[in-house]
Amino acid sequence: MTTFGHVNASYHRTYPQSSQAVGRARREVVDFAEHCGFRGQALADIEVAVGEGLANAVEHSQRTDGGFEVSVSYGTAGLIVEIKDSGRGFDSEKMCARARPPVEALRGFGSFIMRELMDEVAYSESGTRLKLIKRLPRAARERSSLQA
Amino acid sequence: MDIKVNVRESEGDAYVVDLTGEIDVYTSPKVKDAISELIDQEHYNLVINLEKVRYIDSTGLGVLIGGLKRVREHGGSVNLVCTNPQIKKIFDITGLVKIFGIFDDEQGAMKALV
Repeated sequence: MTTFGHVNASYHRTYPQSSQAVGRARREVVDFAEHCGFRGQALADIEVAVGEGLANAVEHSQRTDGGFEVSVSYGTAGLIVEIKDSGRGFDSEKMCARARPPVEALRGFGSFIMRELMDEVAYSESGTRLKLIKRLPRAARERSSLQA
Repeated sequence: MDIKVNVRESEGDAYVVDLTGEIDVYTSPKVKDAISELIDQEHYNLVINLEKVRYIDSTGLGVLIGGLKRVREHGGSVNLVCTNPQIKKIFDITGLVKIFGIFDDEQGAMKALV
């Protein structure tokens, strides 16, 4: 990982294909985001949205080998989290076009939650790569620039 | 972080499920098992205490919704105790505030069951 003094910092890690690895990967993104200046609700939004993306990567990959990759960077666009799974992909356009699931649905909230909490959510590579962007709130940006 | 699950009997036929930790794709099966066991034992009035839960994802939401559906088939109910604004936000944006009773304390959640 590069240093935070400021603006560009990043890391790339590979995790085993298991639901147990999701928590560790999620907490590492949160730690990174906190170092970047995210706090409070914005940090909580990142944790939930990234957790959903990671859970999807493990659940939808339909494979037990291969693992999943997480790339995180911070720069002028904000915090960028990319999650790459080793699965066969899915119809990401259909998923992104979905409105909020009915309240008694047992599944399908994950993508909706990500779209609600992040500034940008985009799938590519047939749905096997997810990109999430969260911009740093203005007050935190100003605090960061003073510290730089 | 794991999830700790504690089940205890309360007033009447109601049961309280105290959860501590994080409810995610890894830990939610443990929560599902605890709720399912109560329902299998014909306990249909439940309070699920989320006060010590710092994180919940959509897998966890699915477990709670599944429990609610099952108890409703028997005329029961599931009320939640939750004061964490970040978790409340998840229930709010998903619209789940419309199907769950969400209370600031256990007493209020218990009272609303009967």
